[in-house]
Amino acid sequence: MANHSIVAQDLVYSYGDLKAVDHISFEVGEGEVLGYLGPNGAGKSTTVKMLTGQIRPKEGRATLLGMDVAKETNKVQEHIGVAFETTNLYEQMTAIENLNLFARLFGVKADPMELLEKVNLETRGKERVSNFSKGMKQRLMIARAMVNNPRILFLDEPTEGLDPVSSESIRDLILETSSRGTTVFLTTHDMYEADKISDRVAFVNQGKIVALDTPARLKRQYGQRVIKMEIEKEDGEIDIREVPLDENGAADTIKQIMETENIVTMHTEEATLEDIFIEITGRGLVG
Amino acid sequence: MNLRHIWVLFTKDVAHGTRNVIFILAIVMPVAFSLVMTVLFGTVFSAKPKLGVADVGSSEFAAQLLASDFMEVTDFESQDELLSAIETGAVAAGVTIPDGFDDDLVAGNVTDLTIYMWGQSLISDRTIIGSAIAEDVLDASERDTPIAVNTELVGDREALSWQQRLLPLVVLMSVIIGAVMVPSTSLVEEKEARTLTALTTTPMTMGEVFFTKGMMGVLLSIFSGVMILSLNGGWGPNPLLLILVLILGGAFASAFGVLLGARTKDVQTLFAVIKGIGILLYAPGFIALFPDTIPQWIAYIFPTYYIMQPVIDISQFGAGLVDVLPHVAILIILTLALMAYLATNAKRLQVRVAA
Ligand SMILES: Nc1ncnc2c1ncn2[C@@H]1O[C@H](COP(=O)(O)OP(=O)(O)O)[C@@H](O)[C@H]1O
Ligand SMILES: [Mg+2]
Repeated sequence: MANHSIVAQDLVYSYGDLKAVDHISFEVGEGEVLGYLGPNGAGKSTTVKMLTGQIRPKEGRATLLGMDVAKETNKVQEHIGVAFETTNLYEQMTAIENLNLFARLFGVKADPMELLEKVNLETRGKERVSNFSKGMKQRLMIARAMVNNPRILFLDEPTEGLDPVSSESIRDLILETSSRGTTVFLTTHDMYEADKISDRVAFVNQGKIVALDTPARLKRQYGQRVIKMEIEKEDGEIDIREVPLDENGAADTIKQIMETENIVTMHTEEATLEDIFIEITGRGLVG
Repeated sequence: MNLRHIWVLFTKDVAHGTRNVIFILAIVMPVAFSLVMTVLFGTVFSAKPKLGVADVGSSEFAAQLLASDFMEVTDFESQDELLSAIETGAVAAGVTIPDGFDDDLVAGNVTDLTIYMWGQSLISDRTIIGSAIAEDVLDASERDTPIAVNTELVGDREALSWQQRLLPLVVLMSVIIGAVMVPSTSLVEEKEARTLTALTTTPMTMGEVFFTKGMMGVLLSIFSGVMILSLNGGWGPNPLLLILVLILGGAFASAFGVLLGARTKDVQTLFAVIKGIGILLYAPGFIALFPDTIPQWIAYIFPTYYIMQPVIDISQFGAGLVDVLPHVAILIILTLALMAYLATNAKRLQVRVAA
């Protein structure tokens, strides 16, 4: 327990009759990146809100850094940073003013330029946030979340709706931050993102965690590796053939194809997290 | 309560304003209103106030009054003559000095002195006359214990000038507009922009946010109140007491503003609500406009009456702490009740905002 940054025990939250989070338990170790992967409405944001003291769990308990979030909310909040799902910056203020305001609230000295550099906004510091694009605002929110040099960083869909380049630089930033010992709780419905930067991934569906493990082990446990071949037929058309690797007789099947057909390309393909998510829940991550 | 949090948010709000229009409303409105009143009724730049003195004996005290620099003082033969002069407005106020007044004063036998005020005399005149006489009494008595100086209006209620009738409403508006509008609008704007959630996810609490927003309202309200009283010469003999009432009134109205902001989800709804209840807030001021047609006790049921009435009593009639204590006590109780409600519900409201 001692080196767990986040401990969620049996968390429940409901909006009226709707159970948004339904008895969720997990732990996140210090410096670990937990990818919290699930489709829209799975209960990801509600979980973040409970963990960060914005709302109080109806049942269960959230413990951050050994402190009960519901009881020592302000003390916990000193050590965490939250990048919210929806933009909530002071639009009439400049980027630097936004960062300074929060640094002063936390009572810490922070270098706004250094933070802006991290999110590639160093040239826009003196501009009003209202002129920023959605992606810039999102990046500024991440910078703001880091203003107090938090021990745990909560990022609620930080790359949602961003262009690929911005998304990639945010992922790099997350990895860099975690390599310096910061624990990261990352919600996303992007399986590629979860796969790439999470130490472990939690699959969330309808308020429940249906699987939680490293991406590699999830794939080994649920996914099938296949050999995918492109075969040129006699009339010149390309045919695609997939052979599951873990089935009996796979080797014979492949050998037979190699002897009788004209193979253009051939490679192994791993199951994606999305395939596994579908396999477990019967539904996809998008839509 | 963490003072740093409050200070940081406060300086942010001052530097980046809420809706500037509202600051302007809160400061410019009372000034504009005063100027209009001044143009219509002439307050600020009036000549020396006119005082009449009926010196029945031959009093040193009366002689001293007659020599005053601040007032234009006329001597009258009798109280009857004096009163009829007041009734026609020839003098703004009058005082009768009975035979042997000087000796009685020094001996401590005089307990009160009545000043007769013309019903339509200017408030600034009343203030100057009232305080000048009170000062002279102190000088002449050679003692520290002042006697009670009563004011009595000459003429019936209809003689109240429009300026006097309007002053309660103007005072109420200046105290209330800033105090209700600024905290409520500021809170709702932060709610709409979701910055309120950002703030309360730091170690800052919702209670501290409420306090900061309320504080802005109180300061603005005191500012407007001071402005309106200065422009209208309404300070009266007890400026400190008046400031105290302004602070309390501002606190009540601001707490109400915070409550309104906490319970409303967007600016449009807020303005609709304020429009709807504005009439209730200002009702005591409107009721005071028509002392003959509307029974004045109706005003008692409106909480803002307990802001307005002490201000009027002190500034226009020179009331002291004891006189206004019942009203002020009610005001304090109402304010504390509101604050207690806000303090106990801050957490719950925080959750509602986040969810
Ligand atoms: N304020 C709210 N009031 C009512 N229902 C809500 C509210 N916020 C979220 N929900 C519902 O709770 C469920 C979980 O929402 P959320 O935690 O936002 O999911 P996610 O972040 O995974 O998309 C959804 O069905 C959503 O519609
Ligand atoms: Mg969400």
